[in-house]
Amino acid sequence: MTLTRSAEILEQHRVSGKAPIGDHIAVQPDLFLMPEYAISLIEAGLDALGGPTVSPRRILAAADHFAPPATIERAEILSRVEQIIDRYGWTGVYRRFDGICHQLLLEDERLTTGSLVVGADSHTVTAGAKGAWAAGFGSHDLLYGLVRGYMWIAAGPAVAIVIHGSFSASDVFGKDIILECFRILGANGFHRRSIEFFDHTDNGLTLDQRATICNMVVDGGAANGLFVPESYEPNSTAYEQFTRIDLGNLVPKLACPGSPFGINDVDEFVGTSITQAYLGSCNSGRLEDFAVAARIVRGRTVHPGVKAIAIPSSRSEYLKALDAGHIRDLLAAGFVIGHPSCGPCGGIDKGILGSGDICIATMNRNFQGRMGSKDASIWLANPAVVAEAAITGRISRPAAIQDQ
Amino acid sequence: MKIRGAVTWLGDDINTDVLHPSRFFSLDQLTVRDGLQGMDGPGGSVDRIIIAGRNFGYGSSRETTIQSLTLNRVRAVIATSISRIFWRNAINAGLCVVELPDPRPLNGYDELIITLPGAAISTPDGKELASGSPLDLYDLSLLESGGILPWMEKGEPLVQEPS
Repeated sequence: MTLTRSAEILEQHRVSGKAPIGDHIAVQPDLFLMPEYAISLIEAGLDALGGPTVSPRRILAAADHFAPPATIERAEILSRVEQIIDRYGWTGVYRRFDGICHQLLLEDERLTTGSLVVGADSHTVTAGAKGAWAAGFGSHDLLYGLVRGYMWIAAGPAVAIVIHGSFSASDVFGKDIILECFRILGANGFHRRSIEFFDHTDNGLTLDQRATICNMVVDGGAANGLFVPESYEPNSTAYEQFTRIDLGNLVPKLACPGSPFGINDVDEFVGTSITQAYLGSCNSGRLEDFAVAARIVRGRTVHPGVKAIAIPSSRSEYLKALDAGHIRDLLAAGFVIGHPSCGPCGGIDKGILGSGDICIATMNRNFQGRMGSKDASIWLANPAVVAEAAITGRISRPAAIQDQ
Repeated sequence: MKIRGAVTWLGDDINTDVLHPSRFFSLDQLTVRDGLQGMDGPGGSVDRIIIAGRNFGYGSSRETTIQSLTLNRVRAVIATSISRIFWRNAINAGLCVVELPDPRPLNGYDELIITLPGAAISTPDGKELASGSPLDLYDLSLLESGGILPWMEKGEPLVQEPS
């Protein structure tokens, strides 16, 4: 039987001479992704087991959740983590306040098509945008891998999604593709699956769009999501399910508050008032997202009832958005620009929601309490819809977006 | 291996942000313990088994969520579907996880016993109620050792292949 691309990558990284344990096979990851909070949880365990045996060449560590720290405890956790970084010789592969680790990995030349990436953060799946098998784990799974050099992983069934055609509307993006996948597959279609995307579009999806798509598969419950190389054809016998998405039919989507599976067209909720708009996160805080938001807000002013926040996903994306004038456009319109980090996503940093707040965000999670109060609500949408809502104070589709 | 606990029902879509909001992320165990949401009081005095519906444990990979459960003496989770990352984190911490298509009827019992590896679920007086998804040999080996750290320290022993 033909292997799925995910199974093929796992097979290529299999450790010879190690028999499977149940459904689990031993694989040697190429890259270990470690955000600071996750490192802090395994300090004692790593020390007790004699420290990592894996070369720093296979590690990327980042301070991105507490970047910079907002509380005394987080400042102290970061100090401890930086002592660990020094102790294990990771200084050269540690990025402090340079952006969200998932974006830093996409920018890292060590990540290539066919890489096997394990990360101590759920959104590690983002690296599938470059064709890697990449999945999130807890800190202690990473500890095992760092000490042993390999990890035990069980492959799940795979789902093929063929994306074809070209966008017919100017306000439709990668975010709408992944939200459409949520609508089509539902929770059962994602649960522990590998989601494999075949880009058969007329113009090809950009890396930024692919990153937005792969980033969110974990929020549906998938193990990983990846873009399959162009030379591969979807073989229907290898996949549990096979779906096609025609970009020509796609309109802007919303994930309604509470669950990523509550997908509707923006058109069905036009006029819904919001109190906050957030452009950013590892899902959609890249140059293309900033470019489209800047075009929408240029020469206009943020609605007085809206707290508008924009956070580039990395220092490098920030600099590019700055050079292109996007940051100026957003600032002039009334947005607050935060430093590249996880920001309010995860309820961690500035931009937290209070009771009664209604936020529209380019993030990946709209769970109750995700951004702070459990009595706030979060809508997920593409950057154009979020930018338009920041200006009008209500959910709507922007007028046709011009290239310049 | 048997796991016994009092039943606590938590419902559908109990993701990690609902269960243990990130503001309770801490290296201080009391902060982590007291951040557990939706249970009847912190620092439980009895062993418990959580019964939940679909999409349990979706979201973050933060291990503090699992810590908050074990610190509150939760010994097992039985749910319709459990997220892959939550599942691995639970096993790594010695917390038993079982998937069962419809666990709701179990909510009618005060106390349950899970017998591994078959994940047979029964009452303390031996009435058999249901069988969950049998545990994989890898998961079972870690659980028998008490989690991934003790498993490593013991030289990674494997339990007898389930028959």
